[in-house]
Amino acid sequence: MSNDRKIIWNPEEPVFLSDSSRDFDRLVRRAQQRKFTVKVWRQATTASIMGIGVLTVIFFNQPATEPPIPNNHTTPFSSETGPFVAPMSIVKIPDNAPRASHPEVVMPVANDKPEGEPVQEKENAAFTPTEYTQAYPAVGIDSLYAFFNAGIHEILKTGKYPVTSAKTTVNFMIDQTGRPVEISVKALEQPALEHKIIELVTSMPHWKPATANGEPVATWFAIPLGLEYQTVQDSAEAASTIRPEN
Amino acid sequence: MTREEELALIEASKKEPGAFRPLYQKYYGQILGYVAKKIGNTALAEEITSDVFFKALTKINLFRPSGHSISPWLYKIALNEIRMHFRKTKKENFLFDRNTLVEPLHLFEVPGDHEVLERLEKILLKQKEKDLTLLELRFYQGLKFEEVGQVLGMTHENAKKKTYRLLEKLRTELMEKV
Repeated sequence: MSNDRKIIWNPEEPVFLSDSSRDFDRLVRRAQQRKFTVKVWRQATTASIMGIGVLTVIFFNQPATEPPIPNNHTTPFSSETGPFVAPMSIVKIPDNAPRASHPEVVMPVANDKPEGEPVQEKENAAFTPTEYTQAYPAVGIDSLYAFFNAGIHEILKTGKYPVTSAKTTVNFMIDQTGRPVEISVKALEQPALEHKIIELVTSMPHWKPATANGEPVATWFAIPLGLEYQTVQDSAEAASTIRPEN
Repeated sequence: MTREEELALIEASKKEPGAFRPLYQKYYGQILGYVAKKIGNTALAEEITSDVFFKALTKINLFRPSGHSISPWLYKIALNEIRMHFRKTKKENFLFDRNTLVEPLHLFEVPGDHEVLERLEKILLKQKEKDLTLLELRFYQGLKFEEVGQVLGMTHENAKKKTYRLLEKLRTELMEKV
C-alpha cells in the first residue's frame, strides 16, 4: 500500500514555542543510562551463556551410573554384580563368544544376617565404611597365569578330553585361610574334564585372603577359560589360554 | 567551526559524551527545522530531533569521518527517523522551493507559472522516494553533492549524475505536456 504523497512548496519556517528539547545535559544523561543498560545486559547475557556452557559440560561429564556403594559384606561388591572377576589376561576367548555370566552364583558374606530378617531393618541399618583389601595369589598374578596356562595345556595335551565347548567358567572361593574352596566348572558337559580343572584349581599356589577391617574374609572369584582347538579330535595340539573378564 | 575542529570534537565525544555539546548546538536548529517542515508538527519534530541526537551520541563510535563533516551523518539519521514516522502515518512529504528549481529546470522558459507548478508537482509525485529525497536535499536543503551522496549512500559522482539525469527527465516530461 503506497503512502499519501505530498509536495510542499516553499514551506514556512516552523515556530517553536518551547526550547526544552535543546537540553543537552538531559540527552547526555539519557545516553549514559542507555550505555550502562547495554553494558549490564551484555554482561548478564555473557554470564548466562557461560553458566549454560558450564552446566552443559558438567551434565555431559557425569558418569553414566553411580559408583557402587561399599557395604558390610565381606567383599566390596554387591550380590547383584556377581562374584569378583580376577584381573587376569591369559585366557583367549573367541571374539564371537559371549561374556560369561553368573546369575546363579550367590555372594557369600562373612556377616550374613539370618534368613527371614525384615528387609526394612536392613535398609535402615547405618552405613559403616569398611577398609577392604583384595585377595591375591602369594606367588604373584603372572606366576598364577603361567600355572593355569601350563596346567590346562597339560590336561588337553593328553587327548582324552575332546572339547565341545570353547569356553567355560571356573568359580571358586578363596577362604579366610587363602585356600580355594567350593570350586565349580560351568558349561563343559564332560565331568572328567571338569574334574581335572577342579583339581588344577585346587592345586594352585596359595593366596593371601581378602581382609575387611583387618580381618580375613572369604571372597568369590570367577575365571573364564577359553579352550581353543584346531580340531576337536586333535586335542593334543590344543592351545589354551586364560583371559580375564573385565 | 572548521572540519578539523569538528573531527576533534567527534573523537573526544567518543570518550566523553559532553564533548559533543558544540556540535549539538551547531546542528540542532538545522536538523530540527528540516524535521519540523517534513513532519509538519513542531512538538513531534522536537521529539524526533531529540531521538536523532540521542542516536548520534550513542552510535558516535560508528561514525567514520572520511574527510566529511558530521552534518550528512546527522541528516541520514534524521531521514531514517522521518521515514519511520511516515511509515506509521502512511504519508510522505517532500519539500521544494520553486525559486531554486527555476534555473535547473529552465522554468523561466515555460509560460504560466501556476499551471507549470501544478504539472511539475504531478510529475514529481510519480518519481521514486529516493529520487525525490535527492532533489530535496540538493535543491531545498542546499547540501553539496558529496553530502547528498553520503546521506543516500552513494558516491559524489553518482549523486551528481543522478541529479542531472532526473532534472533532464523532469524537464522533458514537463515540455511534453506544454
